[in-house]
Amino acid sequence: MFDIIVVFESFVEILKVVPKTLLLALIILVLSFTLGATITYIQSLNIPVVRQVIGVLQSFLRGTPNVVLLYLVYYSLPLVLAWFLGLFNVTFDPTSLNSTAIVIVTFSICYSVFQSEIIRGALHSLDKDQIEAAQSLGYSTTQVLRKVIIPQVMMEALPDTMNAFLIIIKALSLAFLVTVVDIFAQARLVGAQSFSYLEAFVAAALVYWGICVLLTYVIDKLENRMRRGYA
Amino acid sequence: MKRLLLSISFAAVLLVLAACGGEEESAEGAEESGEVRTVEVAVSSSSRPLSYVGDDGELTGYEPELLRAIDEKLEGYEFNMEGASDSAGEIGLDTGQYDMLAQGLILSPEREESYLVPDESNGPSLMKIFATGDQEGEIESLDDLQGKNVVPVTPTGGVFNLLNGYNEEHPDNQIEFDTSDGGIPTSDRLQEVNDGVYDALVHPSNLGQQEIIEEAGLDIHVTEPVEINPTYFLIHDSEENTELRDKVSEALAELKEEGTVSELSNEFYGEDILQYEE
Repeated sequence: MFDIIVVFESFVEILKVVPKTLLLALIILVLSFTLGATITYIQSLNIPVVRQVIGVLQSFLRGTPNVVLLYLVYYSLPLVLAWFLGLFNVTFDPTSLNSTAIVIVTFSICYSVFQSEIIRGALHSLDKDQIEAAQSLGYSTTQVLRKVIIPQVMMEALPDTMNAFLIIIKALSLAFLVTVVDIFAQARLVGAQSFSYLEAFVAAALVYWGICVLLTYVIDKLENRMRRGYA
Repeated sequence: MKRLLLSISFAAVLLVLAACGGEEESAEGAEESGEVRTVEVAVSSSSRPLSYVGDDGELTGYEPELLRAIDEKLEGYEFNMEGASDSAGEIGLDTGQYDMLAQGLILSPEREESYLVPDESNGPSLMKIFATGDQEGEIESLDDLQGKNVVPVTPTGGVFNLLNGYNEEHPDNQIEFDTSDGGIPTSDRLQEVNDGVYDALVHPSNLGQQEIIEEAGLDIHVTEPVEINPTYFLIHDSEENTELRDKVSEALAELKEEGTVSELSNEFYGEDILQYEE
């Protein structure tokens, strides 16, 4: 019944979509990090109404499953875009929206909330004295950001961000709903062609695991390098 | 007073409990004392009218009702139906978690090799193309789908195999199509075809599209069947299941003979699909 050779063949087939999946996950990670940082910054300004609105949005995004958001975006994004561009008299055909764009938008929004929490936590870990020390040495705001805040916050946020990266890679298996083929979707396609789903899914699990092991290794190395001079 | 009330209600509860227990006992006594094997059957739970969960929360539809009719005919077997998604059903059948799979399945050489298949089909499935209204005359068969925007296809199922098979046979007239998970409901897919997001949906026609088209007042051109395939129940390949397969085949043949299949078909599809059987 269970054929190890088929597992190997499936494994090779699945590897073909790994670069694309990783790239997609990376784009989502970068976008959600940027968006998350923006959210954190806006929240730190403590603007009365804006703060509450973002707070509600955050809890909404945190509480809804990705798949629900994906449906919502799939059905509403084309319409929203068409309406928005209509304001600037740009004609937009809602049917021309690329499915990859839908996935990127959905997941970036969804994970930005988690990223903003990660960044907030990292900022909290930063000693206020350091900023004061830098300022007293005559550093400009940009210099304080570049030389003091960002390196330390990055290092603090790195493990969690990496974790988020793995979570995004795994969550992308939902993207097949809107025709984006990731690792898991490829496994299903391979399984459908050979009618050996079990073997294909075992292969997919191995691919995921391999990615996780590799990434963990790379990040550990990176973190050790970054920690030099701070420890 | 309070105490009296308490004891009365307590007695009432006891009575109710006793009544329930009595009922259960009599039900158990009524069962046959023979060996009854429970057969786990995976069915679709969201493909109306082929197989779906009714208003009362029970599985119903053409296939579940047919299975119930077969169950009645088979002595020594009891079917336990469970809703499962496409690939989950097929994996469960591979591993033996399910003994039988009913999802409007069309045979393929691989399936014949991996599973036990009854000799008797459970009715044909008609593949039709549902095209945007203005494509009438433009899209009438699979040959016309080249260069058209086809609704994404799930990688488990007859449509996927049909289109792949077509592409293998017609290397110079390739149909391009994307695959996707079967998460977007057929009704929305039809709406998208209506709106021109896609030109055409290739789909088995026994899944209630006509109802959707009429109810939503969609402008959709439905072609003649582009393919007619008998669908089968698939059974997990094991020694003890060979007898089950033979019995299911027998029961299906009898049900067709008696007109039960036609009745169910009329009830759920609004036509007798047996007329298309070759």
